[in-house]
Amino acid sequence: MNVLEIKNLTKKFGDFIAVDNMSLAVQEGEIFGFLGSNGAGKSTTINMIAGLLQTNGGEIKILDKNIASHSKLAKMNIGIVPQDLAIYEDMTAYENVRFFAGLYGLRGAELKERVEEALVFVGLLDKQKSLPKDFSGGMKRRLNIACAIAHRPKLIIMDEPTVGIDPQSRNYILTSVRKLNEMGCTVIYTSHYMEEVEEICSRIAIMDHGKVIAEGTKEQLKAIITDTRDIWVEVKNTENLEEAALKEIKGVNSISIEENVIKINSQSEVNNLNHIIQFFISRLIEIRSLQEQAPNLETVFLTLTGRNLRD
Amino acid sequence: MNIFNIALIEFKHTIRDVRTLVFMLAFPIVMMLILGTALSTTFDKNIKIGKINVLYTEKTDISFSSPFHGFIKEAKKQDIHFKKAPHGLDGKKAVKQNHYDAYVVVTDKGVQFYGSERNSIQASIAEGMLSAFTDKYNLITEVAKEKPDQVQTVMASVSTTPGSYVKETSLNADKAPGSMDYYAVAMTTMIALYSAISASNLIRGERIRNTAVRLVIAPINKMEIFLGKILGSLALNLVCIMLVMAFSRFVFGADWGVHPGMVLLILFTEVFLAVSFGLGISYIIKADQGTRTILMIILQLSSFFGGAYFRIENADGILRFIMNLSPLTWAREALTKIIYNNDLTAALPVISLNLGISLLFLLFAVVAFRRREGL
Amino acid sequence: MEIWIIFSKLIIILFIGFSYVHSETGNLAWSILLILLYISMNIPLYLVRMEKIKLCIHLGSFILICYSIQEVNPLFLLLLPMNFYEVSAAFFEKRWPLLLVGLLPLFFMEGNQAVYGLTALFSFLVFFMTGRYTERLTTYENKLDKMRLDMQRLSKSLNENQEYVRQSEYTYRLEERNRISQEIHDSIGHSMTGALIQMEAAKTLMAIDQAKAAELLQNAINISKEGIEDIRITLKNMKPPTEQMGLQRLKLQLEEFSIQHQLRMPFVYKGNIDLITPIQWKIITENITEALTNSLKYSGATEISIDIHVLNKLVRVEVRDNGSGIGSGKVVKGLGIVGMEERTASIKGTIIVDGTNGFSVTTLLPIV
Ligand SMILES: Nc1ncnc2c1ncn2[C@@H]1O[C@H](COP(=O)(O)OP(=O)(O)O)[C@@H](O)[C@H]1O
Ligand SMILES: [Mg+2]
Repeated sequence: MNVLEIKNLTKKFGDFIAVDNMSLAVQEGEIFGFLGSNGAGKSTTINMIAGLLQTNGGEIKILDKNIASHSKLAKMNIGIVPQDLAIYEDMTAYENVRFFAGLYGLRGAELKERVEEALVFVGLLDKQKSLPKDFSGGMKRRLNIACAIAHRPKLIIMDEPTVGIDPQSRNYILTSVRKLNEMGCTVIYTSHYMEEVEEICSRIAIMDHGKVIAEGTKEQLKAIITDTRDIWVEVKNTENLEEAALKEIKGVNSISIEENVIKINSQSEVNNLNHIIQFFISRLIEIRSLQEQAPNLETVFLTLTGRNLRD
Repeated sequence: MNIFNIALIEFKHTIRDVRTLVFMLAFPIVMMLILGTALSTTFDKNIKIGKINVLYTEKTDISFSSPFHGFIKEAKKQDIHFKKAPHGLDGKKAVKQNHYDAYVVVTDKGVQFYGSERNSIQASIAEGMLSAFTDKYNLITEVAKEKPDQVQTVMASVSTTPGSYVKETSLNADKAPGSMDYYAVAMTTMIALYSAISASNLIRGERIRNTAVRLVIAPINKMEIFLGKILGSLALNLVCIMLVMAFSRFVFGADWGVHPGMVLLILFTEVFLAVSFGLGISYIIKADQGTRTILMIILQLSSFFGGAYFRIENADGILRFIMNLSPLTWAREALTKIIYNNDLTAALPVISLNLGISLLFLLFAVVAFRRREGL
Repeated sequence: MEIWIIFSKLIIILFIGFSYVHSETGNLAWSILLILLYISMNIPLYLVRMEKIKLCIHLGSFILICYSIQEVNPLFLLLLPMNFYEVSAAFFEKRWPLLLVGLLPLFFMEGNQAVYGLTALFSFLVFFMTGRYTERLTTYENKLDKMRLDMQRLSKSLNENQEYVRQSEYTYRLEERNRISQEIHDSIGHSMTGALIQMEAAKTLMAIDQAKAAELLQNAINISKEGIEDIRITLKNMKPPTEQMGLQRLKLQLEEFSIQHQLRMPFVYKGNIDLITPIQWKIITENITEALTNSLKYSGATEISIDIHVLNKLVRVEVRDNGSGIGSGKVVKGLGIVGMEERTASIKGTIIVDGTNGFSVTTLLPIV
């Protein structure tokens, strides 16, 4: 089932088109990544999904229901972690989560239980009585997440939840995203950090200038650029190297030698690293270093757009 | 329920904002203290009110004129001088030209009273005494019709206790506002007006804090948010005002009269006016900085011309006109009448004016609010 | 628009004058003076262009009106709304709160409320209606002008292009004919002549030496066979491979453009160009042409680089100039870009338009 389906979505700010005829679908159980540089239109898209912005054309469906006509159902099933912190700094962590969860119709004992559940989830239960203004950036971010999940939404949309925080909190958040996903939530994760998206997302849409320019699993995305990878093996000497035998190894396309570095171009989908290493060991050629030059999402983005993800 | 929750959260987090709280509570109290003591001499009632000159014409028979003359005599002790109008003099004109504070025409139907607009205090003192007198006189005529034999006794009691006119008008000399009384009312009404500042921040604050996002994405109606916010703001400001009132009453001993319900009602409508105004302004003027500046200018002007900092007396012409534009003037004058004259009807125009204007601003804000994307 | 406002003011002044004459109060001289003063203050209002001066004049009018109300006749109040709207309209977006403000004096005046209310409403209506319609009129006119210009430009370039297309088609055809005749002459011409000579010889020898003649004929047959084979090969060679066609045509076009407009136009291609299909070439060429024209028109660039990169599953074509770009990064799409998008979308491709570093148009086409 499609948890989210977008068709020909468009948003204009005056003459400027921030989201341009965009279509995509997110299936249940996915961690779907929006990857794109600043200003690509990720937040704008999310704001339209959340009903914060009116669309200028196109259609958004949540759980197969159009949000224009089923806004209440959509809202009940979405949890949004906004890009900028959206918490009351002078209310305690507990009060924050309770207030926002209360807007979803939760009451009494159930409300209390859900609030605590959310606080436990983000690891802030022991800080529940403290004011966010005394929190570190990471803790605020976590509270920001807690406020979005207490009502147990089916779809959680996180808009750059890791901007400007310490690595520890970042790891914590990434782990929580996975955990949420395991608990059955579909997650949309927005970022301009390629590593994060590559690490946790099962499918990724690369966005640029309001358009999805490529979409798929990370393998599919990398395969757009190339289906080969380079393995660079630095050896002590290349004197008794039998090039022909090396070429015989399954998947190897070509070999070039520059000084003591042997550059092996090989098919991506064939896992032949073992064989290659075996080749050198069996011939008593000493390996000094070994590097794999495979494209990552950053390279994909760079190759497609000619720009870096972060400028 | 959501409305209530939103109101509650608004209430709570404003109350935790120390700066606002200091501003709404400590500021008026300190101002009261400073202005109330520093300017107390200007409120010396003997000097201020002084002699009251009343012109009168009599078109009546003897039966009424004798108690009336008794009254005149008694009034003289209170420094209210009645003078019979010479033939041909237009009494009303004389009052208008400020030769007299009031003009009274006594006929057998009753007493007609023309007060000076400039010397409204003097005029209202005279009016109060006169109305007490005529009350008594009406009683007598009643009695005279029903039980002719008792007239004499009542008359006697009237003539023996002439001082009681004064008590009943509650225009006893002690009952004019002292400086602390004046500033208690002035500061409370001013601070009620200042609710507009926090109100202008009601929705804008949510936007700046970004929490507007969460409110909008929640499955609640936008109107619930709006009403909740207004409710919270009203409640908080009202509590602040009641605290200021209580403090001035019990610590400074300011006089708030014997109709606290009515006083509160007026203050409530004023807070309502201020809140709607602040909210309305925040929707009329798009730029955040602009809103604050314009609001501050309007509030300061209203406070100044509304007599919050010092009393403006004997104003007329343009100045009077400008003063009348200030909601503070409306509220303050109505409150003065209620507290010192027991004139409850004075509340009616100000309440309806406040509510009317509030609804206008509110209507505007609602329309703007509903049209806007997000909050 | 101003004429309407002037007339409304005049109407109000006339009204004041009439009522004044009828009300037979004194001070006629004064009021005439004030009216004249008002008129003379308000006439320059429509002559000067500087906003500041206008504001000063308005201020003067206000003071004058206030003075007149106070000292001569409260009816002068009627002049107030129009001046008020004129001043305030510049500062406030929303109209109707102004109306409310304009109506405010109603609460503070004695008598004449109805007249004042009417005048305030009338002034409001006149002022803002004329304002709105004038605004609309000017936008229409501007649009019309722009459209006219566009049309001229378009029809001109259309004509030019048609001429150019005709010309070049003709030249190409001539060139092609020339080439084919050359080729035919070079390859089959020779073998045909050879076969002819052999056959002539065979004919002569037929009676004398039948065996010899048969041999010669066999030769001629062989030569003809070879010739036919040659024709086949020639034709096959002559039929250009697709990639060559697209690439060559593009190269030619770029060269021509580069010379014509004195621009550096480095052209790079990478990857297996053969994978690009003819339809893709068509769209690539069209997009490049469009992008080049855009760069020329808007960017003020001195260099436009063209880059075709065939990736594993995608063809990427980038046209980037070193011109001004779009500082804000917010590209507003014109018809040209929309056209490129539509073309590209028709074969499931995408266009990326970026203005952050010069201006670049990137076409992404999937390889199927
Ligand atoms: N309210 C707005 N008015 C005008 N332009 C906007 C507005 N919001 C966003 N934009 C523009 O839309 C583009 C996309 O923004 P956004 O969705 O925030 O990008 P991202 O989240 O991918 O960084 C940006 O160029 C931004 O400047
Ligand atoms: Mg963003």
